[in-house]
Amino acid sequence: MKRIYLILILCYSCDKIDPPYTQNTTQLSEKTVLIEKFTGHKCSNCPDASRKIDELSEFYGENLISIAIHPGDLPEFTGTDDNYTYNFTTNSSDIIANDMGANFLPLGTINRIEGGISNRCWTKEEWATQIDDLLYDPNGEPLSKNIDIEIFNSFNEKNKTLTIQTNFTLNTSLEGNHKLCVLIIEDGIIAPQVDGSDYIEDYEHNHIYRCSVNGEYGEEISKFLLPGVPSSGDFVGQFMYSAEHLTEINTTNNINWTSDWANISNCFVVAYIYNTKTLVIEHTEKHPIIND
Amino acid sequence: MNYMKKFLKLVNNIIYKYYFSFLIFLITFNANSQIIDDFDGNLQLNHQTFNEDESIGAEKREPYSNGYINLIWKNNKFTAGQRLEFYKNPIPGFEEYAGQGISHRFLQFRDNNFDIIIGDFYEEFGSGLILKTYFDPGLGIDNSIDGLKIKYFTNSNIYLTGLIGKQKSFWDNQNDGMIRAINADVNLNNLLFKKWSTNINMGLSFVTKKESDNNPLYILPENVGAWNGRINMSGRKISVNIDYAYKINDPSSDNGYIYKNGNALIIESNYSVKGLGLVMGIKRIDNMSFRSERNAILQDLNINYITPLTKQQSYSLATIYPYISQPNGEMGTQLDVYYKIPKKTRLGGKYGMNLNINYSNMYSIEKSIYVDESLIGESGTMGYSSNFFSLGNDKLFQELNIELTKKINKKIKLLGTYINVQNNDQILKSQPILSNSNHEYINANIFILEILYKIKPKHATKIELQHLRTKEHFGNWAMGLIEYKLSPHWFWSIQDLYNYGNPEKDTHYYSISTGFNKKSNRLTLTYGKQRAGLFCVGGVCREVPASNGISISLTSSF
Repeated sequence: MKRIYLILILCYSCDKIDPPYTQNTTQLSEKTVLIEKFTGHKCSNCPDASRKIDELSEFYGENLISIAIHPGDLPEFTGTDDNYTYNFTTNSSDIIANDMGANFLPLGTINRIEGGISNRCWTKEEWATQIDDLLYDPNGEPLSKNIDIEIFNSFNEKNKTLTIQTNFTLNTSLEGNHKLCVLIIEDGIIAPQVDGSDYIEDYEHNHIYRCSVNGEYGEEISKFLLPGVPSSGDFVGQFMYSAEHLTEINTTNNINWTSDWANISNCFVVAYIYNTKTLVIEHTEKHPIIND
Repeated sequence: MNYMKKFLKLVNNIIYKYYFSFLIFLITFNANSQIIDDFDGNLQLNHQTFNEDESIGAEKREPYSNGYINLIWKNNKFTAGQRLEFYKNPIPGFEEYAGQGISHRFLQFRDNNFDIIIGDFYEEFGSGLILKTYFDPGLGIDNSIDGLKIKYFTNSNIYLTGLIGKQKSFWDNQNDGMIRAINADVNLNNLLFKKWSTNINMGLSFVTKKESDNNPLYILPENVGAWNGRINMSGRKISVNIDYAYKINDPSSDNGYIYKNGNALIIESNYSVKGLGLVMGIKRIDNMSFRSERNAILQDLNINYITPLTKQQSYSLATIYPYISQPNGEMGTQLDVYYKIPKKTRLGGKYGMNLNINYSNMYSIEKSIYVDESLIGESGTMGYSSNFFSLGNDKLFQELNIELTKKINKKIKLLGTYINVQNNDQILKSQPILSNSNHEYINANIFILEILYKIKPKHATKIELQHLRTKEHFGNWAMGLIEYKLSPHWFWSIQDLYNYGNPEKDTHYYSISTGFNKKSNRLTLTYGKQRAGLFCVGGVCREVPASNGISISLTSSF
């Protein structure tokens, strides 16, 4: 009889979950998290990671900003051939993929915090927990942001030049040196992708890393300190730093930006500030190039 | 269940505090045979160098050394054991093993009724559908449980097992998941059917894993339970084994965080009379990945084991396209026929001839959209529904083996094998592929001839000729091997694997080996090239990088 009791106790200790299986949306955080997803058009499991990003974006809303990077050093997943003619790779994103430890796909960095399965790369199942830890305190309360960033874009249709003004303020005194990195991403690229065992000819690729504007690892923020503004103090309602960058939407910056290309309305500027020692990203903002 | 965690922590503390004291005590009195009844162990040491070789895509690496030594002391009803392991410059797939230390230690008490282990232990319930932990250094698998295991044997052939503990993940056993399990194996003949000639054994197991829910997106079960029932009936000529398992909702990275219950069924039957043996098996697996951490991947933290139900190959070319068990869903059959063609018949000749035909296939399982859901396998949903008796659309694997063994005379024996293998690598995606190529459905025909020739007493030679023909993947392979054995100590061999018809280039993978055996010690030395591919044992595989270099291996028991 005791044995039966033991079995019943063990059975009782199983958790049968009834739908809905998802948690309720928590209140929005002030902070943002950047997820760099390493993916490839020949990577059959990568669309699952994209779906996970969509799911996370739905849950975290504007608190989550994602970039999709196709690492050129993994040609078995990102190389081009007759079936996969579109080249998503760029030199600067290859450097980032290597430095972050993207040696297989799909993986992703979460604000480039250390840990995960490879250097700073996490598997898609680990993303949600890491994102949550960066947005909320252990009691579930939203964390406040320590940097304000605003992006202003001005695009000249005629000569395809883009002027990006990035204004930012440090709300708290941050330890160590920091850099500002500005880059461009593109949504709505229709090109083939393997999805499981299916070849999807008209797959929509989103958040694709197109080019860096001020180098793959950006520039020291100190060079953008506005004249007469000390590097610390209380500056409510006033920006301390302002950076202006000029770039061109042409094949020099990305081989796919040919004269026939017409997808500027799906392009965004992403700007983030990170600690140069820890490499951890403090804050990220994203802004469309047009429709300002 | 905090008291469980506290209990395990206490057990760990006791082991760490007193284990070494106990070992020192045993070693100190080792010389005194009255105290130590027995001391034994075994070891394995491997060393491999890696030269750069562009012809096979081999990279230059630091030499890889690894090894382990098991030491076991026995004193009457008590046993203590430990395993020391080291891994220096591990190859890809083994990186997390880098380092050295005591990887396994236990204290055991055993008498006629009890077998109690505290520390690290391995266990298997039935065929392992809901619990199997084991050590396979070649595959990089050690998923032992660190905790407490108690086995109780009654006089009426009832075997009870209870265990609790945490699984080992590489060097670490501090993961979140905790396993609790009970098992009963009963011989029904002694209990109920004493006069029956058919031997009937029954088994029932229950396993739970406890893991906290820290996922912000999903409401996850913190306790996942699985049970397994099995019955084996064996008569004089026929035996039948039925093995069924069921697991409640267990969203994980393996199944894409779906909430469907899992189940598995394996039925095997044997028929054997003099000169003829038949084995037939069927298998259906649905969502049965079971790990002590939801996000564990590859070979890490597996609680259960899915037996492959395909022929386990040993010839080099027959191992190129192996089948890897698919815990998310597979369904198939195996038929094995052994027939001895009698002596003094036209085919049998003077010594008779053995014929073995093995056929196996494996399909995906049928999956359809679950009620009120829009996609199959969508995270955070039930996932799918599946008709238990319907095959899926995809054939994953099929293999036909025909093997003839014929002794020609007292000196010569021939083994001829034909294999047709179909491996759906489009779905399995287990094979390395060339750049600018895709995973394919591979259809290959393999012919193998093995000649054993006894030159004179203690002197024997073996010649293997193998050929694999396929239009897919890397194209054709030919293989030749000559081995000379000087019993009981020495052997030498030379072999070449030749890959031709490869879309990129034809390549030779030659190697020479020699070995020395004495009692239970074996030393082997190999120089040559090894192709990149899969190394598999029992349906579990790991990738092996291409290499060119020397490898030395020593195994010993004492």
